Amino acid sequence: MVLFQISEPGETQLQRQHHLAVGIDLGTTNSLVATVRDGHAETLVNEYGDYHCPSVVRYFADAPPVVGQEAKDAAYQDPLNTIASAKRLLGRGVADIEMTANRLPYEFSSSDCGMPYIKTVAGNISPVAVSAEILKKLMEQAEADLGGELDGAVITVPAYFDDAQRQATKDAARLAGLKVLRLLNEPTAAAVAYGLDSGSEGIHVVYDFGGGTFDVSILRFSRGVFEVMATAGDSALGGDDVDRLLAEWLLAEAGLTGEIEHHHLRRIIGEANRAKEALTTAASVQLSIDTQTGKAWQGVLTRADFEALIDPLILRTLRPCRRALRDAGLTTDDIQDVVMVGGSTRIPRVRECVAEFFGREPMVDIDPDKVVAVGAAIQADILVGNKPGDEMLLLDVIPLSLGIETMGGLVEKLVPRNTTIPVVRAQEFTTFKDGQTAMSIHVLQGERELVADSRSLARFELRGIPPMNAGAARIRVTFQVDADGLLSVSARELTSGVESSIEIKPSYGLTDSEVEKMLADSLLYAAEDVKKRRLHEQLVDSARLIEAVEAALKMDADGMLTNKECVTIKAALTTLKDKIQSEDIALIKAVHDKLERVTSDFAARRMNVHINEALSGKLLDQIID
Amino acid sequence: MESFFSKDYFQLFNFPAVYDIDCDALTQRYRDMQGLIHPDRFVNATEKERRMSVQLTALINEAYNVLKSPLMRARYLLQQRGVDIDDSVTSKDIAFLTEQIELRERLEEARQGANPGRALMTLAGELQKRLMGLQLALEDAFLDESPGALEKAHRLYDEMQFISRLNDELDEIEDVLS
Repeated sequence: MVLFQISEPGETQLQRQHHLAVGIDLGTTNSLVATVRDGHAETLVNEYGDYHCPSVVRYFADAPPVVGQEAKDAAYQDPLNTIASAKRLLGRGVADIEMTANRLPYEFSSSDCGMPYIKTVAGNISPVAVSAEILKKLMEQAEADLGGELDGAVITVPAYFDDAQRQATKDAARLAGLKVLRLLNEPTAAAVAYGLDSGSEGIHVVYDFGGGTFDVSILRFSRGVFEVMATAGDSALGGDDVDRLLAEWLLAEAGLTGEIEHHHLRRIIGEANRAKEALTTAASVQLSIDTQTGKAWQGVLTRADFEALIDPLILRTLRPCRRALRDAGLTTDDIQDVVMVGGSTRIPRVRECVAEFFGREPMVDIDPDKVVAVGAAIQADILVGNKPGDEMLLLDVIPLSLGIETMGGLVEKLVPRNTTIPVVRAQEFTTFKDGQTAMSIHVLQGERELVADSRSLARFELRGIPPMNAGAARIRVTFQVDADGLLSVSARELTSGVESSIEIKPSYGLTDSEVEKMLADSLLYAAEDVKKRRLHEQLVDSARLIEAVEAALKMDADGMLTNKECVTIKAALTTLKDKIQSEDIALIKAVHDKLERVTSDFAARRMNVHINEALSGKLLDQIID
Repeated sequence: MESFFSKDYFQLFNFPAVYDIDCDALTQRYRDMQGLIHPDRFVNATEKERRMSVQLTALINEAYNVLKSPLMRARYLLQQRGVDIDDSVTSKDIAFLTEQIELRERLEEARQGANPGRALMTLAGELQKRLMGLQLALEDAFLDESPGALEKAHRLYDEMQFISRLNDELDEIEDVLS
């Protein structure tokens, strides 16, 4: 187990093999994978020597999809089957994307899970499946490079992602067959990369303006602990919007109105993107687009005009900055430095505005494209257990308030935004009809007071409430947000002690069984592959359990276990170590669960003893020594 | 484990149950404890340990949240000392009720005035001062062992609660204006 890693010199080598872990920045425009090798975090390159993998997937009628540059290059010729910016659709509803959809060059179909599916020659594809393809590509790239199967990955998400968007990201990883060690907020990852680099204590702002999302986080770094004080943002604002704004300007300038063909629109957006990038260094740029009537339109865009055009977008990023400062109870004077992350921070006007707002020049030392993946890799290396004794710790927050629907379409907040996670909150409900045995709870996220203005996360159906008079039942519903920022709900009727069963219907997401089904049906793997993946996952889990139990026995068997208990645990351990060779997933799983079961009391006892030691004021290093 | 969950928030941090606490020491203790129990320390542990880690960390987070806030700490201490707190009951203190109405009116005037930014800032400054004063008064009231002291602390808490809420509303108005 990781907590009290007491290992004697000499045996460390023997017991603790190096685990392969990566950090993945699953971006709107580009995705990256990084790892820590020989104590140094680095981004991994693909077969062409690129560390960027464009987040683009092209689907075919009768061949597996291709991912990355090859897909991106085909975007003009095959726009309907080439999916870019799928991250913007993750955990979103059809209505959410309607504003932008008429400018997104795909065709959508609605689905049972609330998320829009994209129509392609390979069928209707969910944004989760598109993201899974990208993750799978990066995973394969990393496995080829590192020469082994991965033990796990830290995947980054925008800090401002809501529960549905986070869950969709985790589902994508599951579909790709990737073990997620943690979902990490992008600005927090960036802060880790910077903080560990410079070791500077104090309060840092991370301004993260990426391809599709904007985030700002304020962190305090002190004695190895990164504490997120506040976070704010806009999960639908990014460099894509700059491109779109420019494209609209181009359309207007060129006098193009009405319906624009998909591939033509794609070309114009491409031209807009090229102009934006050129204006990072140039004072003006020549533009040329096809007007479909055979005539080409030509024009010039100066940097000044470009800046005037995008200033409203930049202003939209400063409002969350103000709010984050307020939530953290700080003014710009308290800020030690501002770190720039994301491709859009290359725009000189963005840097100018940020410098003006915070009253200091922002830091751009680490490549803003790589910094998130690097931070994620550092965290992955620690989480997987490659750096025992490392005291770095990240304390993150929930970005948006969580609440439930009450009478009159109002939201009652249970967990306010910027509460440190994990968090557990309980709320009691009662029945309002005699003999009522079920009840429905609607969970929402956001800052607004009306249900209609908030994001619907899920509806929970509580069943199995013992029939009683109205108002007599006391149902305690517990909401838990884990370290990934993901919500889970449980319920219990207090007077009878009956555990109510909960049926979850995510508003914009897949249920567990839907993910399972996608996994089974998936074009991602042949049946044989699925089986191999599952076995691998089970073996990784079991190896981890064996390691944890052996370490615990070594440390605490004396004094905490009776002889009989010790014999039982050791027997279960030996069985698992034996059966792990069998390749029989069901069998391994059964003996694995048995070992979990027989060590359960031991685990509780250890936790109690060690925490009481900590409570009695013993310092961390005394416990570790 | 059970013993851990049955401890009160002060005991959790091994702090005396008083209102005037050393917040820096509290933060340091909180961080030390997080370093031991946070789920990031249990990624490779057994299922049971992972679950316990989440619950314990959530408990520590909650306790820290309550103790570091002057308002919530007062509420918690009052409850610990057997005071029943019902936020829906309005105060019977006429002077305080009058003041509440006045402050509300001032907030409304500030919002609709010619220079709302400035007026709101002035009011915010006053509310801050008021909160500081209430915090000091609460420190005294909680130390006082004479009869009626607890009642006084309760009244001070009610005032602090009102001023804090008004302050939050003011923040929201400023947020909308900016």
